[in-house]
Amino acid sequence: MNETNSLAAPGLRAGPVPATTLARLDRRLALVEEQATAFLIAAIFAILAVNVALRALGAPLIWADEAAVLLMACAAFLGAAAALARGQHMAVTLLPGALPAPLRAPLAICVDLVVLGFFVTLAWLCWRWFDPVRAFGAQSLQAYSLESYNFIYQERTLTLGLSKLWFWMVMPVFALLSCVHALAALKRDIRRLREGDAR
Amino acid sequence: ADYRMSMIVPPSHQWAKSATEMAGRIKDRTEGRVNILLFPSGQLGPEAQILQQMQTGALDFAFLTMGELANRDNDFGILAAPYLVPDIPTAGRLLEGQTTAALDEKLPAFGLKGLGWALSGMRQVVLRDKVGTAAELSGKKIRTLPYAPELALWTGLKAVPTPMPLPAVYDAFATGQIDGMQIDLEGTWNSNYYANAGMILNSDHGMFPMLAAASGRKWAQIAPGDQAIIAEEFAAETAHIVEAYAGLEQEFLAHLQGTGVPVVKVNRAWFGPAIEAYHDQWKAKSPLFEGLLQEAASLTPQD
Amino acid sequence: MTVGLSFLGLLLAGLPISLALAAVALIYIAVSGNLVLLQSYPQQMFGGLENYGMLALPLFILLGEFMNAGGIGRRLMALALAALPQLRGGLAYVNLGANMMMASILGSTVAQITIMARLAVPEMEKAGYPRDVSAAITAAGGLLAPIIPPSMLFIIYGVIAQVPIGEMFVAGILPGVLIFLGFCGLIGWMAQRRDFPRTPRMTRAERLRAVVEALPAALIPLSIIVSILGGFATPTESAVVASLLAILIGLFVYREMTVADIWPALVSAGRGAAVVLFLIASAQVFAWVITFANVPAAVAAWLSGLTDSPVLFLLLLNLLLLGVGMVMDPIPAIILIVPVFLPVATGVYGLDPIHFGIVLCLNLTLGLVTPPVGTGLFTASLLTRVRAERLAALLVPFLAVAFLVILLIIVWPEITLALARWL
Ligand code: NA
Ligand code: NA
Repeated sequence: MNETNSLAAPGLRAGPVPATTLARLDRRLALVEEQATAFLIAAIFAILAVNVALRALGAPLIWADEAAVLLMACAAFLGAAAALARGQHMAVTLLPGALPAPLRAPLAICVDLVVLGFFVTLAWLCWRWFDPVRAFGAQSLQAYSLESYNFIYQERTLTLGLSKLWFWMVMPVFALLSCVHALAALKRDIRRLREGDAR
Repeated sequence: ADYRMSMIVPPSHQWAKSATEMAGRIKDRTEGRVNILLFPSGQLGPEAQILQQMQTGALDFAFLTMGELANRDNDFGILAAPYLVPDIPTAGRLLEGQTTAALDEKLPAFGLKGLGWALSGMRQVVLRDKVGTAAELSGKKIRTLPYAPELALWTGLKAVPTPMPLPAVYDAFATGQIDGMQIDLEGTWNSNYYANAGMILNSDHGMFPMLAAASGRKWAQIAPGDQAIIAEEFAAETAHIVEAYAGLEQEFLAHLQGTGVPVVKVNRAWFGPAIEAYHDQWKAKSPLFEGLLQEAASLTPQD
Repeated sequence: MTVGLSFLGLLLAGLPISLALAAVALIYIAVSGNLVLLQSYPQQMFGGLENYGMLALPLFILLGEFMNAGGIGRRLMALALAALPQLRGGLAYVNLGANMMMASILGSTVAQITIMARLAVPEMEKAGYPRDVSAAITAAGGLLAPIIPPSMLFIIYGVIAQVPIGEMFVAGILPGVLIFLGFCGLIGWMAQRRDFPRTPRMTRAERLRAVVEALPAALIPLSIIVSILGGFATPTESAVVASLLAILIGLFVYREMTVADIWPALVSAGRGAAVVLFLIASAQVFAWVITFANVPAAVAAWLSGLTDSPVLFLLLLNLLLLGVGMVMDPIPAIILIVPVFLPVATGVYGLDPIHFGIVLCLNLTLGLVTPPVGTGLFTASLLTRVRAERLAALLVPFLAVAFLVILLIIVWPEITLALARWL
């Protein structure tokens, strides 16, 4: 097990990354995700620091803990998307590492397909969860929840006074970003397979 | 068929014990057609997620505190108002009244079917340092649940309501990060909070209501005969929980009085005008509150 | 069965562990036919992270980054070294001792490994220790965090089992000390066998200089203790207080860091935290799906049908828990297991809930450094760049010692209960 440089395993991603549009998008998005994650961590840090000071003065922020926790969840998913692009998720690399070279690219492609399949499914589940077409097509969001038993648009945070929706939005965003990263990895590995065959 | 019932309290809590017995009776009476599996301790998620899963029909039954419902609708928050009722038996009768009936009618809008109301112990105040008057509560950091009825009480008393997750409370209280907490006698005793307490205000100031509910979506799919059995058993068990707490309160109080921590009985007058102001404030927040106050007054012998 | 095989297959193919757990949860939903769960799946995944205790993770990772950037770790290790007589394997004992001190500050293995991996491993490597061995000792030392109070895990158990958290803390002390002593013995043996370097000879002036230089750095652990015990901050928030101090010291006292170093530290902490947090979110969603299918209760029923003896029950349970700890982190595992097994343990076998809790928590803690799902293992691996397989192999003797202590506790419950009675 180790951090890996491909969705599948280390040492499988040989050579320079081709400068296709998809590859560029992949890298740009990863950069943005990383910066956004760092920004959210900074926000959590600031909220908690301010809260410690204000509590000592006898005026704590009631919403500080909830805000910090929700921002942490958002940071985790954005950062996880970046980690996917950069191959930093923990994986068991015993088998891919032990395979003979010609079998590695096909295995990597299989893994890429599973990852892509997972995130497409997650994106679809998020679509069903937010159900935007029916929700905004209904008379009112209240009416929509009553007929669909889906209360996503009613749920509020406990202390922030915000709709929970704003934080949950990170899930579809995470799914879509990860789909892009998974597609880019798939394309990369297919290209490698072709190059391997040509040799 | 298997049905699933969830609650956030652990298996040792009275609600979970009651649910276990009730599930057994329902299984017997329906000859196994309704087999309720229990998931205590929030195993299937905290209350917000329990509610969401009841709405989709993944979960079938639950014992819910007012936290999530009051957060969505002030009308549910009024049940936790201070000094509605003096004790558990009176609270039990109030929960069988017209106000809760009106609340039951609002439940379909949350995807729920109400099956009864119960409670756990009355709210008390556990403090690090002794206070003589309610004025001395001013500026104190008091741990509360993060929902409007509890926050409003402490803001009104010029204290600083400090919501904090339950696992953090023991340390926060031991180190003085909070000066006190609003909690029941059961928690004070079971979680050893009294060990760091300078005084326990035996205020009995509010009830802690619980709603027994079914998923609206799943309820509609249960055969009418079984529905009747389930409704009967839920009603019987919620009544039993109220009865049980009437006894448990005395038990926990006796335990705590044996610890050497001063347990001081205080009443509504002790808290001064803040209670009246709270009631006035909530009349504006919920159209049902006025009626609830009248109902409560009719149950309480006037002093 | 299908589900177990698909999990193994996905893991072996090299799919990230987090994604394997999340994907298998989906497969399980499809196989079990409870398709209604799909409607809750994304929300459950998000909800798996809505936990205040989890905040400690990114914040202590961040503290580690700042302590590292500001040159603070280096001086603390120098201090620990200056305090120790010349000894074979001295730095390894310093590492363990520092971990013991950290454990009485922190309640989370991952947070502790994050800091100690940065503090101890580079120093040990410089002194001539193999990096993998240094990393393994650091990871093992991290196991002390949730055993020596305060402990995140004991708190969670106390809340779920409704036993006094204070008594859980007291009950953890003796087992923690036993494990510490066991690890010390193991290091003594390793020091001989692997020929660990001796600590270098230091003059009195050198020792004094190390002490003086380390004084500002020592304010950081001190700030954690003061802010928690003084009631200014929760353990989570204490990481923020300590981080602010670390930044100030790094900027103005040691001057090893500039304002420009702050953002890269945030990026790096965000990256490390996200990987671990996403793994937790996936583990939670997995736990939710198998709990929904009532798998834990079925296992409990099966287990309690096997024996009438409490000791045998605990032994069997511990074998099972070793397996659970392999694939799951302690917090989701505790949430899953306690409600199922506690009634069996106390009701059927008459076990003391405190004793039971300590055994449970100790065992599941070991899982933090076992593959395939071991947040502590991967954190240590990520920070020290030692392959996790290698780390896991080196950790085997430490795990064996810790498990031996667990066996002792199973046979002699007094190890956990005596101190609480005596106090
Ligand atoms: Na600790
Ligand atoms: Na593990």
